[in-house]
Amino acid sequence: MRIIYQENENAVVVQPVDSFLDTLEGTLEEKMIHLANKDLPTGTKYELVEDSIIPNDDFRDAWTYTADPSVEKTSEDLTPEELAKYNMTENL
Amino acid sequence: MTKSATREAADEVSAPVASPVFTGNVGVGVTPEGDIVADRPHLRIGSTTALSGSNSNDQTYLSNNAKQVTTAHASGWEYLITDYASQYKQKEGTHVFQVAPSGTADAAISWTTPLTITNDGRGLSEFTAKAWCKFAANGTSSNLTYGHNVSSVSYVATGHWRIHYTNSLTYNYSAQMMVSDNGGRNTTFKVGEFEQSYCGVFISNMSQIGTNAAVACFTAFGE
Repeated sequence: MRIIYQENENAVVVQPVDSFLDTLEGTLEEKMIHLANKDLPTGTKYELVEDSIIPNDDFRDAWTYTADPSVEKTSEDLTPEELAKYNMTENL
Repeated sequence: MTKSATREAADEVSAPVASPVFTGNVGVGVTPEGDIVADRPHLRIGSTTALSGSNSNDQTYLSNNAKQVTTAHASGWEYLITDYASQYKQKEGTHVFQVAPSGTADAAISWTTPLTITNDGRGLSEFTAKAWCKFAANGTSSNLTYGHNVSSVSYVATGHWRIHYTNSLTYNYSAQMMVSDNGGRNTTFKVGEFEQSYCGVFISNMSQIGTNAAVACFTAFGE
């Protein structure tokens, strides 16, 4: 599973590290949502997609992110405990 | 009256002998090459080993398949034989590990520096350890299986990657990282181009280059 979102003119693909997901609890989707909250700027609209959605590397810069409101999510703030856990003290 | 050979040998052993000083090069099992620069005396051992230093600078070299023919630190080296070359250098309190591709005898060596350990104990990878990271680009054929201090990797655009860390330690070294996708296209970029310039390692599981190759990408590391 991947996270995709738009950043300026780029369609960004976020690939999780399996060993990090293994440290989280919940379903795979819940883990990916946590990852989005952690690694995406707060308020970023994104989608969780299956790996097969991602095209091959040809014309990489021509990729576009087309929002689907029915499945699109928005990244949220981490809790203070989570921020402390990740040593993201600038956000505390 | 002449002394016996035995007595003559004993006299040599018991006589005070000043420590030998060699003003040139020394060869063990080999005659040192005549074009070694005078200011960098070499102890040459066998066909490809050299221990050398400087008469004028704080530099010590342990080299394989390399001789220094000019005093230029970086460009003054040549291959001894046709083969790869490598070198460990101590310089001004640092440890520098250098490598070079295979070259022909007496051709100039072009060193790259995979690793430098600074005087305060940091390790800087200038990234000759090629990272075959086709991670985010091709979703089904690659996977990030393990990350030390890395939660995810973003593929932003061609030549633009972003690494997210699990512990935002404030390391920010001027190391470089090279990423090569499965087309063999290399992209070198400085750690500072990442939004978070900390340390981490990740391993990519890539079917494109063989069977589940494990690859580590280092940005920088320290205490």
